[in-house]
Amino acid sequence: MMFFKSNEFKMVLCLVVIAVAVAGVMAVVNDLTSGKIEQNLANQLTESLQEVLPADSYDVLKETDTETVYEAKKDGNGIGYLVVNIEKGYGGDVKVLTGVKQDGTVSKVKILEHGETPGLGANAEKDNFISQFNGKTKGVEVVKSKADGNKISAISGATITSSAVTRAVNTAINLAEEAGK
Amino acid sequence: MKNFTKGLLKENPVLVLLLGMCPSLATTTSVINALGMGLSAMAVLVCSNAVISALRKVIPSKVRIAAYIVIIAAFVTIVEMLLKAYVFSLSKSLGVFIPLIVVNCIILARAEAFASKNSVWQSVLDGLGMGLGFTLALVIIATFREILGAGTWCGIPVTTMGYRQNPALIFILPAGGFLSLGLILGAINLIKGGKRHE
Repeated sequence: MMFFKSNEFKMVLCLVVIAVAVAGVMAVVNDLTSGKIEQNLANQLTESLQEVLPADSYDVLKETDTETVYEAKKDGNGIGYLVVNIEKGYGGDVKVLTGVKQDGTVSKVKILEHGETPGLGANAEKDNFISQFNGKTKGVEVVKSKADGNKISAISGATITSSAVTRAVNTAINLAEEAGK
Repeated sequence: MKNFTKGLLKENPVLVLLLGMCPSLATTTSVINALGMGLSAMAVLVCSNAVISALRKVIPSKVRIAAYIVIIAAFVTIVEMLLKAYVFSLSKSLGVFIPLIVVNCIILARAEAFASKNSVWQSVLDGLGMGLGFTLALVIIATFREILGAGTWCGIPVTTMGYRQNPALIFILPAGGFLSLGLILGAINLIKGGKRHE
């Protein structure tokens, strides 16, 4: 059998053997780490929910590809809603978690995922921008100057990020209002 | 020993060989990111160098690049899964740059230029040296950019409050990456007295 001694066969065999071996190793490592990774992600979500609107339990009310609405309960009574939604930022999707209290005011906002420019848009995660949302109500506006009333001031050099986060928060307030009806 | 030290300065992958420019520009916006990127790339480089060197007599030369890429991709995936499972916060801050180590040309370049021709032990040394050199270069560029562009180092404020409120943002932006790299390369050539290495 000349074929089995040909260079072509050796090349194919070599690649197949490497690919199969690599796939085997991947499967083992995946098996070892996937449980831990899932747990990390779940812990992270619970931690974020607790941080934004502390409660005893969170029930999923609505879940789509881009939006998730949770109802927060304390001692069996609803104390508000939490909304995770996605807006287009400057560097891709920005995933925002907004806590909305029963009276329609924002308890706290947290950015879960983003791909914004470090040093510019990424500063949206920092307290001096994101805490501006605390206590705001429906129809938050972004301005470039000093903000008052129901307005927040944008991060200088990152207007797109600032307005993406604001859009996400406004959507969240509306979703929470709908959920409360 | 020479194979270890050459990667640090004389043949530093970023500052002398000018390899891996993409991550050198993209991940050097903060020192922490640069350090994480450098160390992850070093882990992959050491492992892939070792395996490729061990298999150098088995892999037919016509399909070597394909074989190398599969091996490198495997280690990158392992590093990514381990980071996600055990150092979750770091994996979050490095994000997409970890999977991008696959296309870091330093790793393929060392596989092709060194590991495919040398023994396993020498290849590991080469990987360690090159990996440390890469990390060192990234940290130097990131130090420059973070101090000028954000006024901090590793997140620690090192400039006046006034500067931090209005820093030279351009150094954090991509254009500033090119500027910083050029200035640092120029400075290094100046220190070396403009001599070219053999």
